[in-house]
Amino acid sequence: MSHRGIWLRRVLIGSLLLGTLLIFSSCSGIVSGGQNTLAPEGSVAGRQRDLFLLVVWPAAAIFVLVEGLIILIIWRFHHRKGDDTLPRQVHGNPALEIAWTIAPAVLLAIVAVPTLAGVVTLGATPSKIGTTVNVSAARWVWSFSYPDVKDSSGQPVTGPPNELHIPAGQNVEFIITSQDVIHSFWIPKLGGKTDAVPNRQNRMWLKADRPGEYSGQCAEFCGALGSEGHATMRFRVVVQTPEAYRAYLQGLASGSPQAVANQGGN
Amino acid sequence: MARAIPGRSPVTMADALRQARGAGEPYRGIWSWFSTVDHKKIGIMYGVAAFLFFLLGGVEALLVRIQLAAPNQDFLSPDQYNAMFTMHGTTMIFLVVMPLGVAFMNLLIPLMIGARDVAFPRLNAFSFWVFLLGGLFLNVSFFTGGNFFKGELGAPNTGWYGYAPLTENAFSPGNGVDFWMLGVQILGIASLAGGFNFIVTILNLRAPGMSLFRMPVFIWMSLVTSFLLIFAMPVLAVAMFQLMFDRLFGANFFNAAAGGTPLLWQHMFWIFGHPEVYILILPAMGIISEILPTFSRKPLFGYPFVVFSGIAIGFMSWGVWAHHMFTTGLGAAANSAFGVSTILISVPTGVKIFNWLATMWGGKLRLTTPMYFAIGFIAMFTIGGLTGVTHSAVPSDYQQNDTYYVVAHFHQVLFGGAIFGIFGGIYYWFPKFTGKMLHDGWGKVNFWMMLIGFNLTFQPMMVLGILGMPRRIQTYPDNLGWNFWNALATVGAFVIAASVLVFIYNVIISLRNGAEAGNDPWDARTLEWSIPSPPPEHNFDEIPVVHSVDDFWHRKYVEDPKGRPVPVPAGAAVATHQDGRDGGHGHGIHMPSPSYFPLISAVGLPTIAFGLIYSYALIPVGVIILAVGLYGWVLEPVSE
Ligand SMILES: [Cu+2]
Repeated sequence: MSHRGIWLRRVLIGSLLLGTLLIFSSCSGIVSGGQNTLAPEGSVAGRQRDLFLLVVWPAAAIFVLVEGLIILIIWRFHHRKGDDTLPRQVHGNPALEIAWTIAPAVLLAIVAVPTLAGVVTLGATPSKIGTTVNVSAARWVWSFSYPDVKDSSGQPVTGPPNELHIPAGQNVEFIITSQDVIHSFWIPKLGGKTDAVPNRQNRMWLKADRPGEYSGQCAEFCGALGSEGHATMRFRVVVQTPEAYRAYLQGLASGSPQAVANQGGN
Repeated sequence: MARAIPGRSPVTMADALRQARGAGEPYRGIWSWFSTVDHKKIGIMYGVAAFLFFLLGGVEALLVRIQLAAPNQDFLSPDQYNAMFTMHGTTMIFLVVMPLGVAFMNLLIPLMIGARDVAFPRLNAFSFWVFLLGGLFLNVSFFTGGNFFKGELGAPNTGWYGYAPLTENAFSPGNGVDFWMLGVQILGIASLAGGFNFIVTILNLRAPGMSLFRMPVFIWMSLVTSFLLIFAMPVLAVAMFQLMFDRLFGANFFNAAAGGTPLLWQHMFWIFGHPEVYILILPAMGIISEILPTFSRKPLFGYPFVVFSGIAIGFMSWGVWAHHMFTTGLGAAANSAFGVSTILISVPTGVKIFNWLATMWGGKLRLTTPMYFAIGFIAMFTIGGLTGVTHSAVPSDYQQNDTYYVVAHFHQVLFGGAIFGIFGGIYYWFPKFTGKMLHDGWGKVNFWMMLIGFNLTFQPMMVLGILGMPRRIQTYPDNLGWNFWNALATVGAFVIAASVLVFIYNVIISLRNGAEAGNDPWDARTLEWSIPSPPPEHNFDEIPVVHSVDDFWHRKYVEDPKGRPVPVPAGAAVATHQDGRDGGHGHGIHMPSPSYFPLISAVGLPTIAFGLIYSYALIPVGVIILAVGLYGWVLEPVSE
């Protein structure tokens, strides 16, 4: 096999990889609907997207550097026919090695700052909360209840299974738990996930930009029985104007969810 | 070799056994494999068994990929699908990558440090038999769910990390999870035996002059791996025992319905699980740290840096477990701390990549198949390392956790890293242990197909994760933009499968008609290349005396003042060590006796496990087998 052939193939593979990278970085443009995490429709998901990209671009630069060096080294230093001398025996270079220990450490320290800021912001519930939703997972159903409005027996009103309503433009707090095994509550377009753990109430907040419909899905494997299972544990998210949302809750309280379900998405 | 003294009445079972088989006959043919304590034979058995499990785990992966090739398919039922991905993960981790690493450690540690065997040869055999029987035990579960041929699979179906409380009886009736927890428990015993054995071997059996900092880097990585094994496996053992008490005896460690703590399982599992990642990857890093210098014709750049970064990874791997649990609600303080520790552990890994590149820089690269795989390791593992860094940005991980992005990431590390390194190692050392070269042309076909297949399979999964596809769903709707990428990944998986077939073909033709290897086909640097291929049973006619790192290289070349190597005049220093074939044949060298007792003892463990599942009456039977095996082992007479 000729060395030129090897070199060409390596370039081919390199560009293939690069192509993949480019495609995935631009897929926000290709798929705007669905569950694309790079096309957020809420401030939490937006922040998570920004942080992801903040890490991805330096990572992509290091990727190009390393793969580029590999190609360069093979091209420059491959053994040439008829040359039977040996190269100079270099055992190391402490200064250089300390440099390439410290450089990535510095780069990573820079990444650490917005990471920690993000952890703290997303970890604490904001002081201004528009509404609270109790999320309860059970194999393989999501139940949502709304403590803002109580039914006749004083309990938070409960909507139909696998259908979540929230107001647009407001911080929404979710209190998440599970009735059986561990599940994970996830609306990709609005933000990352939080696990639903039995005997535990996890908190998470999200803020949807505008009214619309989104899809949510269980993200922690929770088994299957017959045709039902983890894969089918999906739910519908209806983001409404605050007024329509209030009306929806009142409808639930007055016991005619059917009537208000038709207004969903208003 | 082992010989009972004819005419003497048997005083021990071992004696009796030997006399019954014909006194004075060394074990031959197939029996020599069952009774062997030779680290090379055990290493080969470890490798072959793990490779067969690799094929099994590969078939499971292909079934998963067929099911996911298009939306809304029902090629597999949800239950079958869950069993497939669970067994794929469990198999690839515990029955493939770990034992393949152990196979290399078995084959190479004594040869590289100038020893005649490992410190505890029979414990070594025990480790192998326990591994093999544990692996078979785990896979027996497939046949326990009813009619296997109608697709009624009894295999575990709760994922390779089996999160509680899904693994509790209430949610996982049947015996699948029992086989899983007991099988992994048995495999842990094999790993512990191996870990202790390698540590003692490396610390105590090095040839004169081989100080710790003259050890090959592969030996260093094996040492770190062995320490990780002996500290990590007990944590897993405790978790599995707790699960066993929950399932078999009605305890409530993880049983949420009775007030148990499901998250305790996750902490225990990942305190094992993250060091485990490095148990899987460090041997491969050691392998390529041997291959790159040999084919660059230069010493490893910055030996101490590579060694210390390996040790640093070993320590730091204990401080990052909760990055598997960012979404479980640990709170901002814990998530911040583990985010930072995850960022930190990427530094020593990055150091290694640049040291490897610097090793190649300025060399005269001979681009053989082992070198292809070693370079492939750097190129692909780098992607895995970088996607790992994106996880340390914790809020961004809230999105990626439990999606295909994670699946892509750890396959970049474990396939692009570990498997590429291991294949490089096979192409590199195959000649040493078989005396035949693997065919280089087919090797490169193997490499390119595997590289292309790997990228087609796993890079689309990064996209899928970003497009919001969770892991472990057996079907998906067709309106989410996932169809194309899933189809691509399935095509890639079959390209990988084809590349493995090419490898098998290469092994077969090379064993039949391969070029003779000779002692030192690559003009390599470490001691194993100073002896014949395959090595004699006693390895070294004369235990070598070591004067430097890469001692064997320095017997062949001296450096002139400018650092250019000059060949040592023929016959000057090398001769006495290279002529094992014409030399003494090792007469009079004391080697450990073959023994059946490790195998007998090992049979006791799965017997006990079957007893725990099906009938407690089997437990005493297993205990007796184990006791008889250990008793015979202890009292077995030392030969000669
Ligand atoms: Cu679920």
